[in-house]
Amino acid sequence: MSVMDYFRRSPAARRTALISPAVGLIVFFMVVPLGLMLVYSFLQRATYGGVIWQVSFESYIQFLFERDLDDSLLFNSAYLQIYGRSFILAGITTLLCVVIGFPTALYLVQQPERRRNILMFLVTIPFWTNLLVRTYAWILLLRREGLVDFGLEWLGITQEPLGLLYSDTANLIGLVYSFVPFMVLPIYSSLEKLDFRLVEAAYDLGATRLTALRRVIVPLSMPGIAAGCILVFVPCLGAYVTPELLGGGKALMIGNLIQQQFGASQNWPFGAALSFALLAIVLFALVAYSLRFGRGALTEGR
Amino acid sequence: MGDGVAATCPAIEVRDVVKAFPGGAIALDRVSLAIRPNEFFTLLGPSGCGKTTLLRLIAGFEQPTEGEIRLEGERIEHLPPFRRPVNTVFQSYALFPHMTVGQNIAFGLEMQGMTSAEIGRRVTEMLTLVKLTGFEGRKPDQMSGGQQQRVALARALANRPKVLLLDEPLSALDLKLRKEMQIELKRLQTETGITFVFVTHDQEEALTMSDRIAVMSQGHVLQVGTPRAIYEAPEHRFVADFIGETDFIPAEVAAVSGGRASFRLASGAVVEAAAQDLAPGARVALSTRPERLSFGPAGTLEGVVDAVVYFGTDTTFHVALDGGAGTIRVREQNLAGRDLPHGRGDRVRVVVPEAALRAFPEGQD
Repeated sequence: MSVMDYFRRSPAARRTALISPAVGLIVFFMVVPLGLMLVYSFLQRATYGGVIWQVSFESYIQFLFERDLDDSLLFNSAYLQIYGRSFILAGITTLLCVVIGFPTALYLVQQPERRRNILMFLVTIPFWTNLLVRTYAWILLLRREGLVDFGLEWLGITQEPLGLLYSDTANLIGLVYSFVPFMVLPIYSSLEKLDFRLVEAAYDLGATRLTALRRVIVPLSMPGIAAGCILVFVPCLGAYVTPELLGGGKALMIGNLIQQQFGASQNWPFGAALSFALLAIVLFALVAYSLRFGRGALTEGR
Repeated sequence: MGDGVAATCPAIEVRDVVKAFPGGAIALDRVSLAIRPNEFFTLLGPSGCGKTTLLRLIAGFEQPTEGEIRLEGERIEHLPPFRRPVNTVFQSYALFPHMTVGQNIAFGLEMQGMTSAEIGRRVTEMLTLVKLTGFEGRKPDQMSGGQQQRVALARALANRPKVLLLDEPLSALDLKLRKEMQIELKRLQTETGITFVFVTHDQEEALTMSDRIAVMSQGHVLQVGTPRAIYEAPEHRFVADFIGETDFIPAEVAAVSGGRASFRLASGAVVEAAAQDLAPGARVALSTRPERLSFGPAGTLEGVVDAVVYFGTDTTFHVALDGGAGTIRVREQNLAGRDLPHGRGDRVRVVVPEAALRAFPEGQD
């Protein structure tokens, strides 16, 4: 019996064979590096970067405590505060993305096919250029006496330069800008499946536009909104480029903190531990989401 | 306005309504209609005739390009759908999938600002009306098509609309269920006393359920009348063709005298029928219905049986008329213990009662 015959007769073997390249790819490029990081997080730091192969929980202790002179542990909230800041910024970003993304998606699905395709194309255009380049463009826009300041003064809305750059506001503008498409796309796909006769039925039964939106459109597009929130919130937590360039690296977010540990601080185990603290929180959020919206909600975008 | 005036006022009046869509397509071309209170009124026509557009104009989902729509005398064409005391049963039912049956029915009542006690009572009442007691906790996707249909009816009737609009509500049901729902709809209309405006392309549905029918084609209303009038006295060739089984025989007007005319067929045979506004020599199409014709030695039309189609209750004979005058169908009831009167290839004579013929001027579509 040849190998081909074997695959022809056994569907299970065929399935295994077909899925193995994908599994191999994930194992090699994701599971292995992540596992490496997990191991690193339980090792000791070496003075000039790298690790000493000796088991240690020091990194996780360092996340919550600092050592006093007599080696006793004192609670230290500095890192938790950075996590808190990141969560708040990511939360506000997500909220603003919903506020901007939902009406955009609603408008998109109501356009005739041709225009809809053009507009969808426009939504995805930012993906064509590197995030770094686009963020530098925002520096030019937001810097003191930059285009935004100039425009606002010319319109008479402000009298003096706002100097938005290197502030939380600039950071937020940059984050919302880069994540809005990730909100628009899933909401769009769930609204696209919405039967607009249901909206007509709501009008017919006496609902105003706002009530129809609240009682019919929003509940039925909830899976899309939730998927969008995850796609924005999770990567936003670990955002690195935007806070570094627009926030000026002054007000740290998790991404910058981790980068620092691998860079200037040369504390790889701590950087790895910070990454895993973030990963744990994200996994918790995802599990909560799928429990709320049912199995398959994430993948199907229902 | 006194009661007497209100009583004679049509429930819905459509006057000179034009609906043109962007791009130039004209869905309705100067349509005028008056629908009486408590009437089961049907808009009947093939797809694309404008019947659904007319219904959507009455519901308020579309605005007329020209003309007016009145509800009990008040103009409503400028009102949004949520301000019109009409409700719609949609073709696809359009039940809210994220709400239970009870919540679906309660939706319109909540919009009216009813108290929850009143809503509860009305929902129960509606479920009883459509024979779905005990189903309020179900989700629409846990119900059969016929049950969803009933929920859609209950939801639309819960608001006690002045007029209920039904957009081909039975088209998704199988034949048996459709027959049941036809009777059910008629019962609901009688019990509630609400004016029903029913859209369908199914002529049988229209004939069995309606008080009056408007036959529509290509954006025009061709004829409005009782099912009997529409079937027995079609005023338009299209109406005759669309309703029931009809054959057309080309003929020429031979002579006219006082509301009657005699017509000469291609075979040379002459038949008589009631006719108006026809001049001798004019080309016409004569319509016949299979069940109005019979075989007999006194028959005026001669031909050869071309095909015999057995239906169980009756048999239809296709008769090719002499001289290439066309083919007509003759239907005979299958009585107990009787053999088929004719077989394929038999020469026959067809008796054409005067009332069985109607003449339509050539060129009418």
